[in-house]
Amino acid sequence: MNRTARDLLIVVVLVFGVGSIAMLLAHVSPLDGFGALFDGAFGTRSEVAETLTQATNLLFPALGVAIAFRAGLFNIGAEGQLLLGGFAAGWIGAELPLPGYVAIPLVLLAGALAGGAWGAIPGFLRARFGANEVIATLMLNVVATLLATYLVTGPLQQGGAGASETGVLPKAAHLPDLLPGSHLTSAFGLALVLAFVLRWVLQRTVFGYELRAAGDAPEAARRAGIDLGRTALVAMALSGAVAGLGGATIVTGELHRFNTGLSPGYGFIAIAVALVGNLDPLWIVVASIAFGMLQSGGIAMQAEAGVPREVVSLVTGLVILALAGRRVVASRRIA
Amino acid sequence: MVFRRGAHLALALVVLCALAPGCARRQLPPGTVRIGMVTDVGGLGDRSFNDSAYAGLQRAKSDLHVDTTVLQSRSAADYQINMTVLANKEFDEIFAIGFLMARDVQEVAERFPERHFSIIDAVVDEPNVTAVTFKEEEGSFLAGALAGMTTKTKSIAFLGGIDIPLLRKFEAGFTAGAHEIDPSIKVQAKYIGSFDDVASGKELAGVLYDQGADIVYAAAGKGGLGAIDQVKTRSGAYVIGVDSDQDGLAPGKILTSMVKRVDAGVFRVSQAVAAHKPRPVHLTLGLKEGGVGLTDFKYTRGVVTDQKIAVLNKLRALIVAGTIVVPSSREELASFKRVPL
Repeated sequence: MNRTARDLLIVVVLVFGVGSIAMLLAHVSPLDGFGALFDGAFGTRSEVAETLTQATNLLFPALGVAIAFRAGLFNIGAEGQLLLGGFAAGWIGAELPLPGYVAIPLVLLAGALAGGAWGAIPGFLRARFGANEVIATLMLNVVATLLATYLVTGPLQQGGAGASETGVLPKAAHLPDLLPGSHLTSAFGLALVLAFVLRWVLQRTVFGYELRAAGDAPEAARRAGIDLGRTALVAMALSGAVAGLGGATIVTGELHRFNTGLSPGYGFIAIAVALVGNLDPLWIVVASIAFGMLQSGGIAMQAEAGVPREVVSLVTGLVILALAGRRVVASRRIA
Repeated sequence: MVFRRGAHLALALVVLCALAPGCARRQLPPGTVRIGMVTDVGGLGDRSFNDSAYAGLQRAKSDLHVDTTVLQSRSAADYQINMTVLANKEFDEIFAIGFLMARDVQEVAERFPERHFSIIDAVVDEPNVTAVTFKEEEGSFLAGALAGMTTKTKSIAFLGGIDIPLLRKFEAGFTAGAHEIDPSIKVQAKYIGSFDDVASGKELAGVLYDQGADIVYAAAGKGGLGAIDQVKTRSGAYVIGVDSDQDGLAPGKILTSMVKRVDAGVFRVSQAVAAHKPRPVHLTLGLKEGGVGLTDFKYTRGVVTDQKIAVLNKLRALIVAGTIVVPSSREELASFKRVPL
């Protein structure tokens, strides 16, 4: 059995096996539980839209995570990068009254830049001092939350009374809806395009080749003249920029303002999405829809079948543990 | 092959359970009225308004025979997602608990014009949203009057969460109540700056007591628990609790609690839903409607004499009758005229 197929089997066993056990513990038949989950995710047009919205929110950070992974860097800071991207987008969007054709690109750009800058920090630390990016990105998540909370309730306050959020974005800065009556916006299309572009970059450009070489065989890459430090910095900045762009689309597409609680952990679930998608942008699209289904269906499952949606968190966590663990073990064997 | 064995095991479990009697399917008779509730990040177990709202929902379930579902929010991102799921599932009414969700209720209500929502403590200007608000100033007025009759230092204080209009209603009512008893009473006001900072609540309450206040009215969410912590170490000093009946948290040291009956609000809207009647556009619950009030002084009857209770009852009657109009902002407080008893 090849590796991809085995990964897939692990995921299926974890989701349905562990999920079933958890449902049994909650005294709910797994058939009902999973029935409610699928029905909640795909039952009506509007529910499909919600699933795709959740998929979009996962797809951006997952693509970001995948870029770093491909360069051999374990970026677990997508959550913080997404959050600061969202903050920059929300603040700029609410601050500057601009017409739509300027406002939307500007807001998205602000998100990408902020996320990219936040991703570049661990990239720089890695390139300059050889600092472990796992620890740096993990800690920067906490810093990002505190920084955003400080800015939005302190010096950059825009008067979201009582809640840590920016002002509301003017209509011109709202992403257009794809399906009226849902918050599925053109962000979904943007994410799909981004996935194709990233695949092309990784497979067909010199930069993509260097990035993959640095990840797959760093020693060989170094001897071949690839600057590993520069690659790490660029990969982390790009990774953060994509996650930050995701945060910006949540702000302009769904919430229409930034709130420090804008992500229920998209940046972490994204790690599972990227790994299940085998770090291939196109498969990550498929994986993001599967996890989007777990997100939106999981809540419906709680509402309809009485299964705590923590079951979904449990299963997601186990998927990360199993797949990331396998990768670490595999890389140790090679080294 | 370990994984294949795992897969077989999982499959066996699924089949087994499909047949197991313990896993009965939750079937609702057609036409059952379904009411959903989305908590704010405080969640169930906050001993404050999420719990109170939940109590109202439980009562609706048992008295009105409606089906109820609660979705808790782990972060602000969950507000819209949770409400969207309930709207997609065509719940008959969706309760949003707390003013933090106002903006999200507006977004979701616009997207689901055929669904109906209710929000506690905020007004959302959409045709399909019921606002449930409380005349906190009226209950606070009674709290202030009681404090005015009880203080020995002629100095009392208000400790608020965040300095926003909602909290100024508490402050204005409390101050007016104390001045109704005796205009010479000094009423200080301080705000913590958050609703969940217990440590700062304790510290600021300490400052207020040190400055001579002997009664602190703590309307600061979880921060109020800090004030209760502080009063335990002070003799001859009291706290007045808020939202739910907090009297038992430090028996004898909590003069009373200004109870806000979020449960009553939830239940009243649920009644309209269950009877398939139109919901009220704006439900305002004051003393008259039993939406706010003081507790029954279970632990403090030693200081809350029959005479004081008689005065409170008289004031209550005057407010209900409209003779006393309790100020709900600092501006209204400035022009508040005492009504001679």
